[in-house]
Amino acid sequence: MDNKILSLLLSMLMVSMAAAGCLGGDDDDTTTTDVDGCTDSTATNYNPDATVDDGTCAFPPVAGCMDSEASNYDAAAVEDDGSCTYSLTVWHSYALDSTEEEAFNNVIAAFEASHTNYVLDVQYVPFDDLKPQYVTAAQAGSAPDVFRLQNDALGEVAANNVGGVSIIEDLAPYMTPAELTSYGSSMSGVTVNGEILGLPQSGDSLALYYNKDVLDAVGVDYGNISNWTFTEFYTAAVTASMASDDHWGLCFPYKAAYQFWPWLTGYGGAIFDDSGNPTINSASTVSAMQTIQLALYGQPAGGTGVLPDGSSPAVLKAGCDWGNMEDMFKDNEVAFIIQGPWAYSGIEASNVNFGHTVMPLSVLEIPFSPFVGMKGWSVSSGSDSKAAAVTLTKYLSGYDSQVEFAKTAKLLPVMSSVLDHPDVASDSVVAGFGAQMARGFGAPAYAAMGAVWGPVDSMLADVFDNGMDPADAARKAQAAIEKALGIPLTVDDDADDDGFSIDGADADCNDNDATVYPGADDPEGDGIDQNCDGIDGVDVSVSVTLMVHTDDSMITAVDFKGAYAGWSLSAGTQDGMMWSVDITVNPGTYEWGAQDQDGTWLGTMGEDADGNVAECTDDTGAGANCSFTVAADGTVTGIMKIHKMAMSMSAA
Amino acid sequence: MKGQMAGISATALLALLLLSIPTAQAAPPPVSEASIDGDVDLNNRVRYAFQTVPEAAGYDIYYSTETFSNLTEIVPTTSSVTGFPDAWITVSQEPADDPSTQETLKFFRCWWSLNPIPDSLAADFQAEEGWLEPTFSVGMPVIPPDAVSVVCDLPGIVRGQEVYVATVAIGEDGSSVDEGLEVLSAITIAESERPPDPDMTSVYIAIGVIVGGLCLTAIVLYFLSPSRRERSGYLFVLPAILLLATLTFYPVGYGIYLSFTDESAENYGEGEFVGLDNYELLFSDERDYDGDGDPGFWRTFTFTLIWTFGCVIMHMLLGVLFAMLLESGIIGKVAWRTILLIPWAVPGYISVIMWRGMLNRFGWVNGVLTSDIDYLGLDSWAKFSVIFVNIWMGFSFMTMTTSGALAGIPKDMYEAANIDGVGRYHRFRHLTLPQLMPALVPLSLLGMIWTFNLFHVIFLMTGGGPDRFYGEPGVTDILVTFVYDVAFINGEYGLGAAWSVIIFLMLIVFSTAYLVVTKAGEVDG
Repeated sequence: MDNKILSLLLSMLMVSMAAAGCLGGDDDDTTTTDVDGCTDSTATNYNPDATVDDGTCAFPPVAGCMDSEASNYDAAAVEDDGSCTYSLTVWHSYALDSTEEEAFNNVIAAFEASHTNYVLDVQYVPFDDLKPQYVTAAQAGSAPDVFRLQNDALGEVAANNVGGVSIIEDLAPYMTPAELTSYGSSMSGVTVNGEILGLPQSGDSLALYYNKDVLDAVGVDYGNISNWTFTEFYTAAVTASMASDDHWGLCFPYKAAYQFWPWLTGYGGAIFDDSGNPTINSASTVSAMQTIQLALYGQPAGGTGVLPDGSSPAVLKAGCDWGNMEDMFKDNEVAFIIQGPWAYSGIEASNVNFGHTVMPLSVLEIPFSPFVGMKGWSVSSGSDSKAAAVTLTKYLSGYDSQVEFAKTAKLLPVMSSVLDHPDVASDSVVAGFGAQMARGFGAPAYAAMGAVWGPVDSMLADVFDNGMDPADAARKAQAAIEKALGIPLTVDDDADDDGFSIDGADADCNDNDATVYPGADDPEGDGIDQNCDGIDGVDVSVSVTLMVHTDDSMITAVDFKGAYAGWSLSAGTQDGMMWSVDITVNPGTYEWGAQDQDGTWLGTMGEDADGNVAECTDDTGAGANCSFTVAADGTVTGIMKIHKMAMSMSAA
Repeated sequence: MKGQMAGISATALLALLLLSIPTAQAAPPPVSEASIDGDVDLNNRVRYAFQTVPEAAGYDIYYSTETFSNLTEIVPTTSSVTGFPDAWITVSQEPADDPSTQETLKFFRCWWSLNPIPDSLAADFQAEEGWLEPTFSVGMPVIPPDAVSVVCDLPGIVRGQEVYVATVAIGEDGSSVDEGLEVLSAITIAESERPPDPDMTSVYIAIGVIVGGLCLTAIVLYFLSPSRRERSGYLFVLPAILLLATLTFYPVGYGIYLSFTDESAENYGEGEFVGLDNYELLFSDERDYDGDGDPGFWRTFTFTLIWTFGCVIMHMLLGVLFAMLLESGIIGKVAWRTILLIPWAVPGYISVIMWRGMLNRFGWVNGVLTSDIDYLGLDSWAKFSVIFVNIWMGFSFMTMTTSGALAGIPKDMYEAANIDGVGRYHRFRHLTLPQLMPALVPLSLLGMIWTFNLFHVIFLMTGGGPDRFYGEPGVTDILVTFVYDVAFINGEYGLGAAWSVIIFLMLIVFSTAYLVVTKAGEVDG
């Protein structure tokens, strides 16, 4: 584009010169004597009389901006006059007209006031669009100098290279060690392979909510709750649980990977090791899941429970999930929940008497460290003014900015020192969650993190729903993650060498027993599900419809019961004179019967599939021992229908 | 060495005498042996070395923009944290690596040795024997008491600005002597790498060649053509051809070129010619993550065919059926037509998003049927759902076009057939259908090309999912939706281009074969 304009200008110049030549052609015909000397009027030895330049011109030292990264860089300058200005483009993603945008505008205004030689071009890019737009812009060579990104996207974006150079600038060389220390452990969330891909500015994480009314009711003193040990916390939960059958000490979505990270770290574990390899298969994972199991199921006397006899009741309500946790808390049914700051306003609006604090230290006396999702500022490696861009980034993610965002937009600061700021310390929401977040660990920015969530969710479901051994479940999750990442397996995914992997489709349901695998012989009655179909014996379950045929109008309900379901009642549905129920049964012979609404056995005349009528009475003469048989191949024989006619009809 | 030691003890003695503090724990002597190197080509860092002094429990390192002889004279650099040293090093019996410091937090690169400061701080001095890496505590290095010299790459030095550095030794009780420091200055001018500016020359040349070539051809044809009428024809066609060439032919050509390179998000701008590697990769075991012997190509291809033929056949059947019904003298024809237009009139994206919501496991369909089926999460149901939704969205267009064609069939043919006593079926088979064929054949051909490459329905409904295995196509991925994943999610531009070329070839073969088989090209009025 510039070339075009330049060539246009040049051509215009040529034309005008030619024209000028024509016009001025006969103006100056007089001949003068040539005088040699300096003809440049800006030179120190300018000779106004000289007509021919002899190349002797000398110039004073030129003052100007000498920083090659500045927008007014003067290549001829030999003396810096401090006039350098920097033009930076900034992409932010704060929703327009939000309190976040207000805070951002305040921060930008403060920066411009203190850095008058910066010219900022601030542009809004919607949060979801920023990542793809940045990658494309960087590839096209028109990336913004500074941009805002969530930390878990950093690794993925930085993996994009242009001409062999990552599109995100590594900030490590720009930061003094003291500056880095002020960010604390949050730096781990923006660091990939030793490169700092951004400076975190805000974050969020889980914290402990406690219901004061529930704790007051059972006489637990929570005055010192922020300094509780795990035993104190657990004792309080047990006390609350024992108050009544429908009260619980603790409720949290224990089958969600996001909720598992604090427990994992509390037992000394980590998601990745220092080299970025997944470390889910660890003793810490197993201990953490066993602890949750104890909370879920309790333990008998003689164990390690908090009650004097060594027992401990169940304190964690089974089935807790993201949906019902808050409802139970608002209904004063649970003493503690583990939830993030995003739920705060909803809980507050319900008028429940509650507080929130840090999770206690674990039994290993190390913090439960929640997963901290962060957003921060990064610098483009293609920026023309990297040092200036870094200065702006340090400001946007710095102490003053974090204070402003905490005050105005309630965004949790990632620098723990910000929490001591008087305006922030007095804000109970920011201070409470901020204290927990300071104990958190930065969400690893590894692109590999995406491969971890699913397998860990499955691991928790395997243990808490399907009763899998925690060690096996951890091994299975590790294998699944490593396969997803395409890295060599560090675990034996077929420990019993039966040819079936512990994970994936057609998974081995018991990887410690070579006789158990999908498709294995599964003799019924040994109590072992060898073929991994979920039941002992081959699952050839068939549907059977049991029927009662009656014209007795006195019967208003028919309940079926039988050996197929441990003689538990199931209500039949009525269609005219026919009452029926559909059941699913495995091969075997089952007695069954049906009762009316008063619990009286119905009928004595049975009918099999072929319409053959047979009597089915037990020793007492009641119609309980009709029976049908499901053969191994699924064919059903025997009595599936009972006739019960009204007495009057029979008499007639 | 001896002289140095003597110097140090003399200084220490002097310090003791000057301060005359008879406490057991005296401030350690100042660090007086140090060297710095700003030319080791370290972006925003300088390499700094100092010799340890006795009795020090730690060292604080300060930066200043002016030279200084004690701490009060320091003018902190812009990156300094006010009132703090810029870096510090702790002296301690080397503890086992502090587990709370992750590798990623060890930003302060240092080495220590039992030998004095090396003569040269050149790039790989630490590769020599005797240099060890320290342990870390809270991101800062910890060196053992017997370390004699320490070398650190000091970060946070602004490029091109002179910076003054000095180290203060700190005693057990926090005491220090900040006079007589060895203050050194250095400038680093090393720059971090910058991605090259995109080079558009080749693009301009390619487009220039295309445009120039076409113009030249047009000019040649212009002068060669015998009639004036033909001449102006070339001129009228030229603008359209030029636009087509730059906006279509060029990208297609570039795509074919890309498919022979290893261009990707990771080496954007550095792609090299790799021949047919990408095409081999499509079928190679390397990409067969789930070990079923197919890296996903054949599975995706099969589903693409099911999807294409399933949708188009149903479009045609339903289209003809509804068109016949509309033309059969149904009451309220206009109303029916309007109703049938709705699926087509609603913008496709909105239809798809609406259906995605309704087919959600907790959506309207399960609500009405009181069932609990994850329509978009179960393999077969997901396949069925995407095809169903596309049929729903497309059949009304076929109805409208077919009913238009039906209206154009001369009624007297039917009257003649009626007189001859031709039955309903035979009327349809031998009269209606042949008359419809000229409309139906190109429609179905176009429909197949559209559907084969129909991106938005599957992308918006399932995103190609449910996913089978990382890196492999999902269950409802058709070729184009998987190409999107390859190119724009995995960032493998070369491989994505190879997929696209294969799709392109398939469509060409497919269209040609179809035209030949149906002789549709010859159907005329």
